[in-house]
Amino acid sequence: MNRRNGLQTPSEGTARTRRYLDRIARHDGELNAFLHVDGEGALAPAAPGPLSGWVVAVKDNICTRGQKTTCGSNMLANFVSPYDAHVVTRLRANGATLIGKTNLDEFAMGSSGENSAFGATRNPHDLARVPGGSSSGSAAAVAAGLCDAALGSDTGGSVRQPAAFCGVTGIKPTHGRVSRYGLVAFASSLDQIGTLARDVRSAATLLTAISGHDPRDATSASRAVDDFAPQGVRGLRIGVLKGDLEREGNDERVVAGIQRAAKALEAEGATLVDVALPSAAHAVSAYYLIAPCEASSNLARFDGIRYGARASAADLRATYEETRARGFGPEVKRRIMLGTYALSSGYYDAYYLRAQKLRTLIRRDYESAFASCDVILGPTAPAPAFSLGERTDDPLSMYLADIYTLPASLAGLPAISTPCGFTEDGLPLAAQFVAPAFEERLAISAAAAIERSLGPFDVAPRYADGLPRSLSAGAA
Amino acid sequence: MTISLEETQHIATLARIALDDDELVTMQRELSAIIEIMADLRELDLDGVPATLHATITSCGLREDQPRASLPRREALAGAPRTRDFGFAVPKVMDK
Repeated sequence: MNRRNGLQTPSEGTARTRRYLDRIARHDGELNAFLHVDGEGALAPAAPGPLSGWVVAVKDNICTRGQKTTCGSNMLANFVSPYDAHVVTRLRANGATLIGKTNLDEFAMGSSGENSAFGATRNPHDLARVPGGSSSGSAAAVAAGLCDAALGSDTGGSVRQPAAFCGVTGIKPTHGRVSRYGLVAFASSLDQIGTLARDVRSAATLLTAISGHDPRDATSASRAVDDFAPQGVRGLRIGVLKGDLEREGNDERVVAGIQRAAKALEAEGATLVDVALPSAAHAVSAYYLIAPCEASSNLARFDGIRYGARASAADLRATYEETRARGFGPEVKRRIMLGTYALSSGYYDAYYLRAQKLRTLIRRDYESAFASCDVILGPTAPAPAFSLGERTDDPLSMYLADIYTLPASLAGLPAISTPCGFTEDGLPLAAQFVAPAFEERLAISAAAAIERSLGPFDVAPRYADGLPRSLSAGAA
Repeated sequence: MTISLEETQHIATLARIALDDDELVTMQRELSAIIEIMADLRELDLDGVPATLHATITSCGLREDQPRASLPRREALAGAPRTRDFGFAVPKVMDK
């Protein structure tokens, strides 16, 4: 491994960690990216390994032994994880320094970061705007240079969309590539842990470290882990989602960004072909049935008995009802209710089953598309980051904006969001690449090609001062 | 409204979430609006299409049936709001 940018000595690592801790102390008051910072743990010696010196933040729905894991919810405000998630064990074994836990939409339900019980996170590129969600704190922390990289979770776009809004790279691997052991479950057939970093190679390096089989997750794939480091794109066939680019309601700056990305890939030797995913137009309906149905079952465990807060009430039934009424915020209640409705007697066939059938059609669309291309290029989100508060009263408008990240989630495919430019007022623009199952490296290579020709995309300008240099081999 | 107030209350009961009158009305309005946009699913011809329950796995692997350590009881109980002796304490569920 090329370690020319690597860490030289353990004391250099400690000094680096201190610099990040200082940056958090200085900047996180205005950003609210972190829910807990573990200064003492971060300064303790880390094991030697390929991630030595890397300062990594972890989304607060991923368990870290002996520390709080709140899921951004009052329900778990004082919950202390009894064990480490598989990915956390992997990070520690690879020598990473874990600096703290990041803010999120409650139980990872949201696309703006505003659904946290502990206050909204702000976008480092414009403090009046949302960072996206639900991995809001992870994306903002990376974009503001409060850590080298971060873990998030992506159920319907929760790594990719905040990465897009904050101008960083976010990878959602194939479902099964990374163990979900210790990730607090939202929608198990869709949930997947992913990585965020300021450059493509770092996000890929972190993904390599956390990937691989884990017998504690029954859906964990027993595939050997590739080296996810990007390669050249000469001869790579890029499928362009022309229909998505022409969709009404897209911000024209987003469309121009994708066209710029396509041209850059062509200049690097890739070929462009038009592809279509006709059934993906119905992805919002399918996702907002399947995910809430699974959530209504998964979140039944939060009843005030085994962990979390408990409301005192006269009997057991009232204890459940009051605990859940007080512990959950409005978006979580809405989704549990929606899922309970769709699974209730008389509605199962009309909603849940039809959504699962549509999921098959979307998978088939991808299979057809991948017959003529290697990777699919399209937008991550229809528009750049919106203003805080702009959509809080209109949950539907928030759901509809997830249209471009949902299809890959429903099909379980790997996808990456990477920056491809800025608006005139400095808001990040992003492109998304989707690859066939377990072909993460193809999407990563395409993203790296864009970064080479249109980047580098670094820390948000207002936080550029004093940023520790990257440890990633080959990073800008 | 696609979903009635009574139905909304019934769902809340099934989901074990107490809602006051105002919350119930808001929930009815929001759920109805969400269900309405899902009308597109009902109009699609999905006859003969199999359901996808999981995108990437066709069967779950079985692990070796060997004893292994589980979370120690003390740690498993550490996060509970109320415990008694060696278990989770709950409000009385039976009269005797």
